[in-house]
Amino acid sequence: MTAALLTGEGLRVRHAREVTLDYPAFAWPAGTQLAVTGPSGTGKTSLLNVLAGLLQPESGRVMYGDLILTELGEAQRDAFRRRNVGYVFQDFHLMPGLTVLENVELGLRVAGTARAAERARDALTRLDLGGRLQHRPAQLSTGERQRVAIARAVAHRPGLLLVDEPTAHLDRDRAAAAMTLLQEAAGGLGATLIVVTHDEAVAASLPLRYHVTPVPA
Amino acid sequence: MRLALWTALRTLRHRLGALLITVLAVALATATALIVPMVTRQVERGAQDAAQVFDLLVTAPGSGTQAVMSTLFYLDVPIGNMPNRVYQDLRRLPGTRRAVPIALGDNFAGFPIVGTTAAFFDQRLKPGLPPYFRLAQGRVFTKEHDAVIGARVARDAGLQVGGTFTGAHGLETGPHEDDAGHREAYTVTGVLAPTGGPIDRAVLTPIETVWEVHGSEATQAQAVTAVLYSADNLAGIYTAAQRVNASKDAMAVFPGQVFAQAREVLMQGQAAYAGLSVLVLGIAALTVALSVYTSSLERQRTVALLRALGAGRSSVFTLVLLETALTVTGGVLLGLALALLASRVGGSVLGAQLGFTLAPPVLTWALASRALLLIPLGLITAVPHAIGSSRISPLKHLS
Ligand SMILES: Nc1ncnc2c1ncn2[C@@H]1O[C@H](COP(=O)(O)OP(=O)(O)O)[C@@H](O)[C@H]1O
Ligand SMILES: [Mg+2]
Repeated sequence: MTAALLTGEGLRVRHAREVTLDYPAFAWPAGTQLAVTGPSGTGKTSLLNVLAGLLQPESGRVMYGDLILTELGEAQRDAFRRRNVGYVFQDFHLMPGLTVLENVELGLRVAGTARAAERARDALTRLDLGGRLQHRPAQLSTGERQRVAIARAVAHRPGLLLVDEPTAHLDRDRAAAAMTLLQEAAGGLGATLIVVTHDEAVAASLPLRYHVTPVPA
Repeated sequence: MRLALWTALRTLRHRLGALLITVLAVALATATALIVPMVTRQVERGAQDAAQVFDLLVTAPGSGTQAVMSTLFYLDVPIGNMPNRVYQDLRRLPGTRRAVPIALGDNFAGFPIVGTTAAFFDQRLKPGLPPYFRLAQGRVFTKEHDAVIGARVARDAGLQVGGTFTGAHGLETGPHEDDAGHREAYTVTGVLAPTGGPIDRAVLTPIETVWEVHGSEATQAQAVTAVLYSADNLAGIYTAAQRVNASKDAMAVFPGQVFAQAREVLMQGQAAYAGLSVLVLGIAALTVALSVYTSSLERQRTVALLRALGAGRSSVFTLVLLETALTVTGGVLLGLALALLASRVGGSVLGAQLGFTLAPPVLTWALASRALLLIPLGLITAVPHAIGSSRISPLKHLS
């Protein structure tokens, strides 16, 4: 899918009665690469979940191109997510029972992509995992697992690539390499890249920054 | 659906160990529920056919069951002999289709030597059908001391057409074997194809042979043990039965009636067994339910991930049902195979004891559907879980 302008205004997420998260308005053109920064617990992951259509805000409006994400029903948000979103979860969430190849193939099958196995192999090979296709996630290093998660997130060519704390489990060198990888992947797709991080070095490697601050209740 | 199937097959593969236990439980329950009815049916088929080739069994007066067991199944001693006149009367009765005399008395290696006429080989399950007793080898007997032997006799004694053997007095091998009058050898002229019925272990010879062998007992000469009688129509059967029962020398038994009684006793056992089968199948269904629920934490993760990747609720619902359906179906199919195998083995063990070569087991739809019922049953137990799974919030397991 080609990327589209992503906008948000008046966005408020309420998790529990005492946790209300308010977000500054934003408008990110297609292909934007940006870091979402802010202290822990300020609602960075919650923002990614809203953008992925996984979480409905209490109020406010998010638009992706013509699509008013915040007004869609659950089934429509499922469809939006499988077509337009690639999400690299903080803990990767690979399925332990599937091989590396199958984990990526699963994402493609959910997206309804044809020739899923072939495309999964291509995506993994491009991320230097061609020799690991039949391994289980548990047999891989953390960096390799993250690359499998990235392969799964980009294989169906989404317009929106969401990445949560990609460097949390990596040392400095590997963190830098991972960032390069993500930027190249997003650039290759023309996708909008949104990376949540509390790491200054990571944030500095991206051209734009969106800062989430705690809002006094 | 394709996504659900793809995922189901792979998650099942991952849980193969636990899965195997469930599959085995279902398979064993299925087999347990089917083996006894299948073996019973194997026995019934051979036994019923043997009793259906004629309409009326005429023997010396006594117990109907004993009459059937002795002259039809050779599993009891005959009540006694009847005068030859009874046979001749029946033969000449208007409306008679066939009257087959039977004279018992001797044995070969424990197999009963059955004196009869060529009419014996003309008996049929229904008038239009080909003869029930088929020769696998050779031809029907033509003269005294010719013998047509049952399939099992041929196998056990290693006899073929042209082979010879000698008979012994009495219906079973015993101490009075050296009776000098019974030493003339029999020659095998034919071997019968297996029927699964009692005739498999009989030696058939012209009735005159039996009379000749027992010739010294002059008054008993030409006596018959039983007559297998068939009439052209129902009225003829009843006329014959009334006529026979009016005399003191003989009685007429409807083998069907004796069978109905025997069946009733058998069915009572079967009913208890069917109850047990339901219990076993119920336990199998519980095992399935248990396996569905024990896999649930792992499944919640799978489901949450699928949803997070964008799979809809219906895919998740289908996934859970498919996993269950695949497990149960695998178990049921394995169970059916086990049941077939076990009743083949059980049938041949039982057949060896009864002296029959039982027909191969047949899995009827009625029986198979009992086991196949487990599939919808398993699915029903999985429905609440499938609904629950489809409602899992992807966020709950991803943070
Ligand atoms: N499912 C939830 N239920 C209740 N509170 C939640 C839930 N998810 C997040 N929160 C709360 O919302 C706030 C923001 O969380 P999160 O978006 O994960 O922040 P960040 O990613 O910036 O650390 C935190 O206080 C967190 O405890
Ligand atoms: Mg977070």
